[in-house]
Amino acid sequence: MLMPTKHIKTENALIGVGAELLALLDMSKTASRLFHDLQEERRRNEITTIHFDWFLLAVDFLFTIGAIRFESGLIKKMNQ
Amino acid sequence: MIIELTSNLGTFKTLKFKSGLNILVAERHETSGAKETRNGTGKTSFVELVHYLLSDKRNADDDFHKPEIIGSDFCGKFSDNGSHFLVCKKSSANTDVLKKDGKEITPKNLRKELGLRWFDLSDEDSAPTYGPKFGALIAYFVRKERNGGFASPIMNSTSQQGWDSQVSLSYLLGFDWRLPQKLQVKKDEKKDADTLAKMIRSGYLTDGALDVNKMQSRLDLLDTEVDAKRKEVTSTSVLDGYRRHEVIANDLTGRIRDLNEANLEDLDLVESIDLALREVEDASVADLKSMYEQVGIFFSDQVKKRFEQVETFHKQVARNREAHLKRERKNAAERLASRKKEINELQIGLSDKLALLRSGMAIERLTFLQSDLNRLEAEQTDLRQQLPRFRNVEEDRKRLGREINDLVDLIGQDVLEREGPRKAAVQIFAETSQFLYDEPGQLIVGKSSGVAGLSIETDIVGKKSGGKNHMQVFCFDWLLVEAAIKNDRFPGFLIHDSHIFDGVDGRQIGLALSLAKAKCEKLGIQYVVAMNSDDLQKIKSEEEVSGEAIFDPTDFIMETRLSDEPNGGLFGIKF
Repeated sequence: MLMPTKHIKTENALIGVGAELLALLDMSKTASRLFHDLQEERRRNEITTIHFDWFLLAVDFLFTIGAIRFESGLIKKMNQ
Repeated sequence: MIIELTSNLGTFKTLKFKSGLNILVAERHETSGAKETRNGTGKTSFVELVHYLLSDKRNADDDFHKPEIIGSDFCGKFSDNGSHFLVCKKSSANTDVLKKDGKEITPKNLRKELGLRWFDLSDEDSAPTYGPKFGALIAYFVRKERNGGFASPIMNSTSQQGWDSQVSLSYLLGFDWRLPQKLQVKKDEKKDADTLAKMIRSGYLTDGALDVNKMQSRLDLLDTEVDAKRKEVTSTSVLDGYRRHEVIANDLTGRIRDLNEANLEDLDLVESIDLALREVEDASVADLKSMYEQVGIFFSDQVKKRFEQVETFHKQVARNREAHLKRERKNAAERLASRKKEINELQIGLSDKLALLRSGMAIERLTFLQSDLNRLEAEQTDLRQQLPRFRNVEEDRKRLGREINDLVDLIGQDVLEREGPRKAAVQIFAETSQFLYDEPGQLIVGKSSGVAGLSIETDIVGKKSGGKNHMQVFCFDWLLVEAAIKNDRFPGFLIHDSHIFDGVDGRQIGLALSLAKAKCEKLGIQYVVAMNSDDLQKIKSEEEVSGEAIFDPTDFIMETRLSDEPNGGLFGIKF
């Protein structure tokens, strides 16, 4: 789940998705916007899109390690 | 004058004439029944022969084309002013051959020549329609019983037209013949105008009189109507209207298509949102727990939040996402609803337009307008053409009516002003008739009471019988002779066949012959009269009864005598 395995590619492991999300959070975004941007980016890179629940878990992961925060409906990177 | 009538037909009895009075006697045979006619004796044939020589028409049914006669030459030797000429005609099955002095001549040219010679009738005078014609003039001096020439003094035949009598008599008596001639021309024009007016009237205004003003106002109305209609048709409003409908319909169809496409997109969106919403629901807390545990394993130093905090965060983001999706979904649903409403409205508009276009209402209206315009234009053209003609005809009729009345007045004026010829005519007629009946007859010349033109009426005393009528003809003819001589329009001879004395008393026959003799001597002319022997006998009987000498015809009876015996006629053949 968190880490890539024999059956889970890096880009699909939460740590991979989380890295992608951090790259997309150049500015604070709503969850939906961030989800939308992620899907776009993945389509552009010809990577399979992911379900929202998996995206949310990746966002939860980033929150758990203190990489992002949630402020008035917007997701922000911690150092911003 | 006529010198002789001859023929190469063996049995023909040559007739030789002297100047002055010539009496051609037809003997009535003792054995003839009272009812037997003497037509076979050829007195009439003698008059017919003169006509035959001068005629320009060939009558295949006359005596000269009978099998016994056909192919014979008939000649008349004439003289005037000392010069002689010979007119010969050979009857034939096809065309009769006419010769004057041995040279072939057409009847038309012979008549032209004789017209000038005998009647001083120039081409210019006889050329116009209703001008005096040789045939009509000669027929007064050689009356034909068969044509009713003795029925009326002023008519040379019963079939003679009024104008012909007026023109001919005016010519001979020295009145202005151009007036009755013109009168007849005007009458013809008026007749044409009347006919035309009648035609137009029956074609146009069946109800009531000719109303030019009514027609004019209809035309005025039509002018305006046609203009308006034409503008409506030629202006592009109708066509544009049609095209505008078409454009609008196309536009509507396009917009409806666009809206439907947008709706399909939104429906897809709604479907995907619904899917996303289910995904949000799927993001269960169970997975969250296993994620949190794995972070603790792999990044134990990095766990900055307690699980409760992460759980709260998770729920917040999920709700946030859900709210967003629901908003999106609601927007999409609203767009769909609004588009559906718009589509419905557009559809109603479109179906109206389509119905309009499909029904061809615009085209129909145009077609209707066009046919209406065509009909009005036809009537307008018709009226425009008819109206001037109509107006002209009406004016022509009025003008001709006036001109006819004017001409009749002029004829009356002419007769009044030409005192010489008029008084002479009245006097000669009075004297002649007085000689026969002891009382002067009346000749009344003047304009007719109606529009007939010249009116000549004769009346003499005497019994109301055929005899009286014939004596009026006799008196009138002698008047014509004297007047024509004065006007230099006399052929030199007067011919009467025996009918002139039909029903006339012996005394008057004798006096008539006596008068003729005196006139011939006085005027230096030739008078040829055919008589039945018993008419001559009547004179004798009258003389015997009264004991007074009336007239002795002996010296004037022609050498050649005709009779009612089988070969006694002019042709010597009974047929």
